[in-house]
Amino acid sequence: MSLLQAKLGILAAALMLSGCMETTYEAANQNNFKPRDKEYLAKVSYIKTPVAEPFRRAIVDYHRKEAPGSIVVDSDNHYLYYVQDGGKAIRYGITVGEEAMAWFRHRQGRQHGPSGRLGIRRRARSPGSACRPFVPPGPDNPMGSRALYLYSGGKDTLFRIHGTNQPEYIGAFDFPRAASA
Amino acid sequence: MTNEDVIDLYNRVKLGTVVVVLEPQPWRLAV
Repeated sequence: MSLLQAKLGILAAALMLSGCMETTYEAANQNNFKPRDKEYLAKVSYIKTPVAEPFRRAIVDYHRKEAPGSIVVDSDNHYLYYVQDGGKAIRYGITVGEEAMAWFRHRQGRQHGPSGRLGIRRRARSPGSACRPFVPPGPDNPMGSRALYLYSGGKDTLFRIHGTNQPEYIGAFDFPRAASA
Repeated sequence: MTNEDVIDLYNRVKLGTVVVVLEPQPWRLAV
């Protein structure tokens, strides 16, 4: 093996390693949850289907430009990132509903619409949805335990980051119902 | 997002938090 080949081999190995992403799977610390949340979560009536490992909550390396404290939604890969200090992010698995995809199609087709930068203007502890039959607000509701309301230019986009009573769809590419994160 | 995860995220974010929604790739939109 020539010296050049050896150097190229070392360079290739270095490039491969630099492309590796460190992923530490870490469930949410429920010690920080309110007693009422713990009680509700212990009594949910939906089936708690385990989320596939790639879509479980994880601490990952993060090298994009968004500032710590930002949320980044990667709908193609079904991830939501909460950017942390030190080049890290908390990565959550999500589902994107048909309405959300239709919104993206609308934006692309018309070349206008809200920009990619939205803001959280409202939060709800026990959001409700107009589902039939009626399901009271809480973890069994299709909106889940919490909702973050997304605004653009001061206007409600009507899209939410919210929980779900159908964890089996997290990471799935064909979610049959409303927009869900 | 699981209910456990959304409670965790809710406890971390503040009003005014920036949310960047990445554009889906065209092949996803064509489906």
